[in-house]
Amino acid sequence: MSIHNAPRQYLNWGTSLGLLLILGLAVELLLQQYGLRQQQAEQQRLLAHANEVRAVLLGELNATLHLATGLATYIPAKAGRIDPAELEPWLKGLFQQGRHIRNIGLAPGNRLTFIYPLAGNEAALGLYYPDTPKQWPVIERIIASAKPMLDGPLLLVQGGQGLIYRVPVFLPDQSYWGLISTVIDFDRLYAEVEAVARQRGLSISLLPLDGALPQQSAEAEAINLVVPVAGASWQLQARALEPLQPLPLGLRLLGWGLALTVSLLIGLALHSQQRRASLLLALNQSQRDFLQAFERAPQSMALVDNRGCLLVVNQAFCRLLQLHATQLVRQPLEHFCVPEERADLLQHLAAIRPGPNRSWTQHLLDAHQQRIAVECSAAILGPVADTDQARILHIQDIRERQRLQRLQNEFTASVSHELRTPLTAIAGALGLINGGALGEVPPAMAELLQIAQANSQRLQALISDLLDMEKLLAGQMRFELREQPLWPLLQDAVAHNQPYASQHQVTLQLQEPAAPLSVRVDAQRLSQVMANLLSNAAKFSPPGSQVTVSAEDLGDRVRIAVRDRGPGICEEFRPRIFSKFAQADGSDRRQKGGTGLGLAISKELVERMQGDIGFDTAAGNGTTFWFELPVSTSRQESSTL
Amino acid sequence: MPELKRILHVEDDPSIQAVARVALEAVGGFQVLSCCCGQDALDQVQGFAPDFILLDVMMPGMDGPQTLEKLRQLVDIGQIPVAFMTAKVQPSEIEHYRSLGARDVIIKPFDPMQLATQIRAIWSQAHG
Repeated sequence: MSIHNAPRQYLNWGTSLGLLLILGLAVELLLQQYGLRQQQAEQQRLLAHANEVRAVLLGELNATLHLATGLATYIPAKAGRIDPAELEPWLKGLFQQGRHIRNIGLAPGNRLTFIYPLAGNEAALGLYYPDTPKQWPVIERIIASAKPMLDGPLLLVQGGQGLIYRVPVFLPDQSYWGLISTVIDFDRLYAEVEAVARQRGLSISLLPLDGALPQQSAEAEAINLVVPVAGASWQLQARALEPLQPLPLGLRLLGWGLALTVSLLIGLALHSQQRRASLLLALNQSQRDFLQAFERAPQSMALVDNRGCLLVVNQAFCRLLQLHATQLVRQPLEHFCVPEERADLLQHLAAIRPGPNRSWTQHLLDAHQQRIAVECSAAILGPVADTDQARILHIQDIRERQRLQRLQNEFTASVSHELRTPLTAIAGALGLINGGALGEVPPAMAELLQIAQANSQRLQALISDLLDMEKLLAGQMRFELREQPLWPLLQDAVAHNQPYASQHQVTLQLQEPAAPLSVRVDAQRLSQVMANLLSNAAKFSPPGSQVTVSAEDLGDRVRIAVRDRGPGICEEFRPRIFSKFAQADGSDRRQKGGTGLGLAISKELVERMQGDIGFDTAAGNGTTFWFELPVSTSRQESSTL
Repeated sequence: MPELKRILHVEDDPSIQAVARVALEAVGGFQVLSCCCGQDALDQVQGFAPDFILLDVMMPGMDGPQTLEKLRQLVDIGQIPVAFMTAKVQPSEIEHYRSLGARDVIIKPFDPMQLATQIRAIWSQAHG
């Protein structure tokens, strides 16, 4: 199962991306709100400042206009008579108060007859308003409405922009007297107001409305205020001198950076979470698979603790013992073992170490107390022989295998036995004829009869070896180990095998050891081993050479060596020299005789007598076969192997 | 020492019987009565009056030791030595056969040219 799940990963990163977009949107919204707030605050500030500016404007204007109003009450009081000598000083005083007044004119009967100050305004003296089409319609409206009115700004004849405040004057009898016209220096007034505005960070513009609606500036942030003045109204438009700073880029970057970080973190968290989840899933799955494999394995398996107590058993194990798992778990394994082998079982369990598996055969008892021959293999779970580590036991029912082995052994034994009886008769008959028991045989026939006898003897030897091998492998060969002097045994062996060696023109030579030696051995088996080694040595020795038999004291062991002067054993053949039917050259068997079992049997025999067998060889320098046997009697008295 | 003349040979395999007979008669110069089974031997032993009895161990029906047991009731095996013939055995088994009353054991396959010599040796020992 794959730990990486591509669609799910895409989903995760998709979620992250979505999250990033949402967070980014939130950042943008927040920034927008923040901007709006800023803008609103700015508007509030602008409005407050614009109102201040308007108040200044109105204050300046009203202070100025107030002068004309005073004059308008003076004239009716004088019944319309103008005395320049009386007016002049008064106007002069007024003029000094009203800072922005450029001139004041009096026009009784609409003719401008008095102007203060006159200097610079002489051109306007004597002007009759009805004759000025530019001014007359306005003046006519003023007279008709009987209310003063501020007109302008307009270009003055004297130059510059001015405002003209015209006050219609009526005598006490309600008859129209004329006009008082105050010209205000608009540029100066404007400059003063603008200076105030600039102090407050505003730029302003002033527009006469002429009865129209206040113009909305295209710029949203501009403040429009209506300035009501006598008989008219102006629009004061104010805007910030410095435009509102756009939101700093850093703030936006910070917001998006945060959004990105949060999305990435969440994405990573999701990713690792999912990775862990899928790993966990895979782990679970593999654990389940392993448990299933254990549970359903065709072989019996069990986990045991360090004291041999069953921890877990699988189905095959339950079937083998015909018990339910609940009857097995937490029970010591030895309870299901035949009583006589319990100690062995415990020993085997205690001896389990890390490394190669330990195997042994054992007999268990099933639910019906039937013996079951099994082969146990055990390994420790873990790298150290920790006391707490569980051991896994693999238990194989070998009853069928043993039965087949027995059948095979019986078959071989019975075939060999059946072969042996007729062969005994054949060899016996030939022996009698060739021995001359029945008289002289013609020479040609005698040769053939000799061949027949020799071959029947070879067959007898082969069958005898086969039977020995079967007995050895089946563990049915009995050994009678006794400590006894070695010298007579070797003498016998040499004596018995000398006739055969003589056929190969080889002499067997026995070297007497310095001191008498004794070995613990089965004399008959020793002679069998010696016969094999001596006949081999004789066969492979050059004619006329010697085969030397020697014995050496090795302390608790005795080494017996048979040395020939033959060609040595070739390199390739050395590893399998003790195998069954092993002969260096397939043709050897016919040339040299022998069954191919001699060395295999010798090895088995020596090992069953607690000995070792081996050889030393060098090409062209002969071969020494040796075997070592124990001297001590402290070992097993007798073994039935 | 009395002379060894008549040998009773009990052996189920006719070929071995024949070989042994030649080996004993032609080579050894004895008079041989071959019996094909234990019962045959029991039937003929008194009539033949052998000096020596050679018994095969492995025989169908009554085997060598059983035949020996029955023979004891008919003849004095103290006077008539009995030898078993059997495949290669351990010294301990030879001891076992001796304890049953046999003088010795002749190992199969036997050398027919030496068989008579072997029997003479046993005979000499029994009467030595």
